[in-house]
Amino acid sequence: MTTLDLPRAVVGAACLAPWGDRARDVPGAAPVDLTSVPGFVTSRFNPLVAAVAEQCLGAPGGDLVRGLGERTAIVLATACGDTTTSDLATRKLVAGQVHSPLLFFQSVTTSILGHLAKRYGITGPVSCVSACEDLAGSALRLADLLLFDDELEQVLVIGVELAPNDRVTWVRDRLGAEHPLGRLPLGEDAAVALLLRRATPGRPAVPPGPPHPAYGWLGQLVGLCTAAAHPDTSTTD
Amino acid sequence: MSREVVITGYGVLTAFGFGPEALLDNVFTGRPGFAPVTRFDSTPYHAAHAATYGGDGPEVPGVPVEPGYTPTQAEVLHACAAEALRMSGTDAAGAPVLLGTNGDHSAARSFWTDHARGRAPGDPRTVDSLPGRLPESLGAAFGLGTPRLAFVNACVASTNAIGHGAELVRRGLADVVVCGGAYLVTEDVFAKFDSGKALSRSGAVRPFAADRDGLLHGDGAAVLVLESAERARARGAEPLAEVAGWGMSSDAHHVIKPHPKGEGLVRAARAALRGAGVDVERLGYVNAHGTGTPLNDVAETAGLRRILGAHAPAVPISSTKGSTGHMLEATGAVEAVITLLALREGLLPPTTGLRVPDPECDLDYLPDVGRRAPITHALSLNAAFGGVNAALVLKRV
Repeated sequence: MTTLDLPRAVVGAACLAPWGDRARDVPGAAPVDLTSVPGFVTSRFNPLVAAVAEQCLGAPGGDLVRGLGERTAIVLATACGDTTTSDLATRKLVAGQVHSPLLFFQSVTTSILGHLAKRYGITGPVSCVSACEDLAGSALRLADLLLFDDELEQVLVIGVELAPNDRVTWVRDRLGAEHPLGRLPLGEDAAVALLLRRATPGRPAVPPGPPHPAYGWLGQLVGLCTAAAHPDTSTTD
Repeated sequence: MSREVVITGYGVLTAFGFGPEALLDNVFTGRPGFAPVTRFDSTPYHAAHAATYGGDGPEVPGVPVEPGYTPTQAEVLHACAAEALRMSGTDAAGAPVLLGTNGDHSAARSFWTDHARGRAPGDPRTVDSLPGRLPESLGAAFGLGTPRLAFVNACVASTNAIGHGAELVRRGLADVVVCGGAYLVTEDVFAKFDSGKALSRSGAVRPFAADRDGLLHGDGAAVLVLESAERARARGAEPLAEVAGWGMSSDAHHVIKPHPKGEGLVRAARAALRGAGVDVERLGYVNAHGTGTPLNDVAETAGLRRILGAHAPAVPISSTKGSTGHMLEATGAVEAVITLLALREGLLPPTTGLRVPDPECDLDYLPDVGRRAPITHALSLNAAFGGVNAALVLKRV
């Protein structure tokens, strides 16, 4: 497959993970207590998505989305999804317990994006993707393709991964160290958000920064965050 | 660059079995596929029915038909892909693989059962509980290319996969794409929907009916081969239909409820029609999302009135979920195949189970009986939690 040669500008960027000193050059990165999201109580996945999006876009009504809701798309990328909620549901079944109705919608990735869309008035396309290999690149290329559509002005790309639980760890071990799924973030929940637009003479393209290897496939998005925040420096882990 | 995108092959599975004949003999004749679930014990739940493939109807190549055996998503996707590639007459070498799937959760169940019993997890299928594994394994088995993406946006997932695949071909970024989706009924998902009181307790799905009482799940999988019309013509392949347009949108309304006036559905459909360059007057059929839930069907009707405008009373519309059940991530791909068959056969499938219309759902919903109609263009609609909407326009070739 060929790819679009579309220079992309980064107009908003945020990373959330308790990364300590390693995150000092990454915009927004700091230990955070996540603000709870009504109705999403079981897992950090959904609050993490909501928090990183807000950190990237600013408060609802701010300059980045105001008047552009119809021209804004969302692409969410996650290799494993909300493993906390989905595995809690499965474990409850195994234990012979009845499901909570909250698990009904919490485990569906589009639910939290519906919450975000309502808060920010975003009415453009919403895609959620997963892959074992090159997930960050695939999500960025999907965003590029959306930006090729003149009716869209910007795409919010969100990458999110929870720390691997027992099932994910087992799968990763089973597939082996060389399998691309081995490139999951190490040990911590993590999320990255980037608001992308087409580059213009007044809005220069941001070249990809060096990936942060500690954050697995998310490292490529972290690198782009860093490059956007520090265009004249290159940061590695 | 903007190229014509055509479908040159497909493989499809529903509860009625494998292939188009299973659809034509059942979905197009208004037969419901629901029965009490035997795949797991349904006694803890309010609902008891689903439309599962149990070996009746055309068999799925390569999938054992044995009492108690439940096929896996990987098995049915491989069977559908093999048939799609055979029908297409191409090996699709290097083609991107785009599938609507949230992973195979029967495997996750197996893992946590072992875990709870203090046993070392031993079911190798557990790897397929991660969504990305399914396009990866399909790509590896058939020598396909990259990206190998799973779309995980719930009930619009495989519509999104088809639309994205069409866009790759239309823009000249790929000559051929393999796309589709799969969902097989599992207790995990059944239990979630049951706890949310979304499932029909009567054992029937009656879209747009006054007595509708919810949705039921159904097994489904479909894989389609999309390619540029130019490539298809050059190799002498028969195009089956054109993917003329597609669109997506968000309601910006609620985490689970659809917009009551179908706001997002209207935007998605208009984007698809605009992309196809088609006026609503040329639409001969709409395959509606039509879940049979109280909120969806009224909201969708309101949206369809706005999409179709003055033409609304004249356009035949049906939801085929009264036959197939709701196939979640697979629903868009299977309904795209149903829509393709409607175009090619000149036969519109009915809304199975619709006998007492809801006064608020007053469009031409083809109650219980299909209709012969030569049509040139059709629209297929899907919607998901979070108010995400997707639309495809298919054109007869």
